[in-house]
Amino acid sequence: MSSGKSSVIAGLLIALSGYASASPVGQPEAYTGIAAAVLVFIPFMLSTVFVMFREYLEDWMGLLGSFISFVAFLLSLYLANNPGAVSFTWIPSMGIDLSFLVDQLSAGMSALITGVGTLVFLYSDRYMENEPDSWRFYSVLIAFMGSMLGLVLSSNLIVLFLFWEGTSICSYLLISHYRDEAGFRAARKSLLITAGSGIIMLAGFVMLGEAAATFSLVDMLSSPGTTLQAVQESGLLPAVSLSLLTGIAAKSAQFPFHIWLPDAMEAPTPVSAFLHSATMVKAGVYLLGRLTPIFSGTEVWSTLVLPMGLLTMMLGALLAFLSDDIKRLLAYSTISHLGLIVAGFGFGDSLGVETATVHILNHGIFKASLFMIAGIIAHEAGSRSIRELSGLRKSMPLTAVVATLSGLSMAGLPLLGGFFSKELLYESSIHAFSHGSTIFIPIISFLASVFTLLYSLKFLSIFYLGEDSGAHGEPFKLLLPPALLAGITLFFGLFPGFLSALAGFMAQTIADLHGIELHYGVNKAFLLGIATYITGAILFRSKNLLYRVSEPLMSHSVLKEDIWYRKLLEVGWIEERTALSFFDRHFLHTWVAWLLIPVISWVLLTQRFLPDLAGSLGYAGLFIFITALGGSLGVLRARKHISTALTLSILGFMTAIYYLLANAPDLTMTQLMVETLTLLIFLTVLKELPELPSSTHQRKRLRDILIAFCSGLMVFFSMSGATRFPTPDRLSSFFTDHALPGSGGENIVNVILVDFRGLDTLGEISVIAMAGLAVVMLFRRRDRL
Amino acid sequence: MTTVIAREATRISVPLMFLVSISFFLQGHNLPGGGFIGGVMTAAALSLVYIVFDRQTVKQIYCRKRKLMPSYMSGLGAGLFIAAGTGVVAMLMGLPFLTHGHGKVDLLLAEIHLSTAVAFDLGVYIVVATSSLTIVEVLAEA
Repeated sequence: MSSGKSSVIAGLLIALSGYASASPVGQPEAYTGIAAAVLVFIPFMLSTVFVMFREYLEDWMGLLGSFISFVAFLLSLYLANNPGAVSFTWIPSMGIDLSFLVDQLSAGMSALITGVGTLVFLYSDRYMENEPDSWRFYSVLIAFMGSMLGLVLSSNLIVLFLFWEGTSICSYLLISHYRDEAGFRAARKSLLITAGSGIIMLAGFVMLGEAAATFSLVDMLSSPGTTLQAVQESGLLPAVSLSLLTGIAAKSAQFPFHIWLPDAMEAPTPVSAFLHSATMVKAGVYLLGRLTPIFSGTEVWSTLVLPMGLLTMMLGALLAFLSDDIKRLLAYSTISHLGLIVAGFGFGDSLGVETATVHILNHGIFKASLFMIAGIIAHEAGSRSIRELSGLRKSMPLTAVVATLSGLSMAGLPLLGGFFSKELLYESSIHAFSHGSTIFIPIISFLASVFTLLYSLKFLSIFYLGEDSGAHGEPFKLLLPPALLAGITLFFGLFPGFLSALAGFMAQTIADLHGIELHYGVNKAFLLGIATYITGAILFRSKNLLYRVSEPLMSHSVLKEDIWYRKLLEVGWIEERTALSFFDRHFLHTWVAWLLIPVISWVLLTQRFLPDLAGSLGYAGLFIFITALGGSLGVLRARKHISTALTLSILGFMTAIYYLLANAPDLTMTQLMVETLTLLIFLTVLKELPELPSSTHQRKRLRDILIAFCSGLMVFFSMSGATRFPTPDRLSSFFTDHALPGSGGENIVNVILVDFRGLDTLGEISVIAMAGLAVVMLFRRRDRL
Repeated sequence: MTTVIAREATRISVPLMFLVSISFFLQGHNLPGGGFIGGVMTAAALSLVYIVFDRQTVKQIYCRKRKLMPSYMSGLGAGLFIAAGTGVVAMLMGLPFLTHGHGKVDLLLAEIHLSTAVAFDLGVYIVVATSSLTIVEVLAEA
């Protein structure tokens, strides 16, 4: 409880620092670097501790997480007052450093993350009580917080990408926390969409970094014009913008990538409150804001960002209104509000930036609160369906008050923080319209706001309309965190100067917002707001008619159904059943044959040199050759799997002996061992396999022989092509000269493996470990299919 | 497959194979051998046990010493951790990742030449052995 109170006090502190920001940004303080590093790594350390001591800590993890988040919150406040850029060398040869960009935006985002985190952990402490495996939940949740902090504080784009994917993975683990089929499906969906497009974004980062000759955001942002010019000159601008926007849109659930977010509601409610409303989905808009100084005004950016944001805002609001599940309603609403933020940045002027920043704060606060309330309702009233819930204000009066505050803030009513988001949206839209943009911008803003009001009222109707459907009660510990958040949103509404100072403080690195003060007053936006309330109220009276009109429209629409995702899965063989039914129709070796043909034809057709057959095998070599040939003829004659494997191994052993003749004892031993082990593994597996069909089809048999012969020929030609050019002497003499003095080893082969090319070996053993795991997974899965 | 001869031969040869695999691993720096070969040999030795004796027997032997031997899969992590850890140690000393050092170590009786690459090779040994054994075990189970 004390931490909750303190977070209000700390909220006051950050506001004070906002007012204090008039003082010029000084030299990076000495402790900024350490504070940033500690801030990012403490959550990861705590996550490890949670896993290691899960048996002892399980009951304390919620409170411990809350406490650490609060410490992190204080650190974020410190950083907000001591901005600077710090860098720790990591992989200098590739321009990758652990560098942190601490400015008002990143520190403000950290404060939002850790502040909401404090309350979410506090909430989880009661919510996850008596749940099995809650240590798994807490350790991933705190690791998520670390990734998220790393994401906003990173200056190096590659490091930022690592944290970015880290949040996707944590989200995956948290969505599938309950380990049921729906959870796995939703988790896979979110991972495929967010992490997949994250890789596209990585391509964008690499192109951007190459063009700008640095991966450091600090360097890029210090002269945005030069950076943009460099990218333009390299001709990569459209590609860079598109790939960055793909990553941003997927993470922040923008149309058409929004489809993963509603399904992500399979996660435990604290996760929905934390990841899928207040923080992770803000990663995209954070990056959008971060890159605004560089890309704002370029062609791709201005044609895509604003329409995408407006469309998402409208669509999300409509779908939220049509939802029945309260968590899905809130998820669609989140999509809509993220659209608003994106549109804000899309306006490209300082008014737009103000809209976006104000709404990042507002939305994070009221939506986290609403999700927590949805969790209380699901917990205590036993349902999430609006049809089944009604009149809850009698059985949960305090929850009703908190929900009303947050819900009306979401709807944009005066005296609450959300009012100013809507007000600013209207101002930006009108401003854009009066400067030559289309009339559709204010119209869409208006319609989206009407629907926002409608679904907010729909959400609140479970408290106020109808008979009491009953609830067990309202646990104080669950109610406290959302109540605090609702208090903040009320505070924002009562003291708008505070909100605008906070937003101006955060956004000062994007745009100068000194001219914009929030206050209540009658202007065009305010009048439009009044119109919104009236229209919304009228429409809400006739909402059944509205359902009837819009429901068939939406259920047949591409917009709602995740058609493209399912098609993609089918095409990409990701959905196992589709893939299996396709592959099951033929034997595996048929597939291998068809895969081999293109490779064979490519090698044989591009072969330029006749093999050099000079040289002699010697008698021993000849003996080996003939034995191997006999072995391979035996393979042809073999009718059973086991005899095939045994005769095939003759070839392998002969190769080993040939290595011995060529003075390569290491290779010989490796070949012998691998051959033996493969044979043993073959023997264990083969008895399980069905026998091959006896090849009655003469033509099929001929085809197989032809393919086999050609692949032999291919290997022969490529080997002779490869050995045609002798390895440079420099290389072998380098190793012979340096092995002993450099590494103290006499066996050059091994020295190369473990020392000179150690990184390669590390990669190889990772692959070997991966292969082992993959076999385990495949066999475990076999039972489930 | 499990004749008396095979069983007795396995009983005798498997410990020997173990010894040989360890010596392969240890001598790798100066003579033919190394972590990879040693690891494959260990795996081959143990998979012989899986083939000659039935899985139940292995499980009995295995369970008696469970405290000593955790599952093969944890070996994957341990091996990778050791191998990558040697690289991190170098980083902590301000050298590039995976830089190795070597030198003479004065033991009481003799002076031997040691290299930190041996620790890396130990990681390779563990990963190769446990990965192969994981596969063999899963297949034997199926």
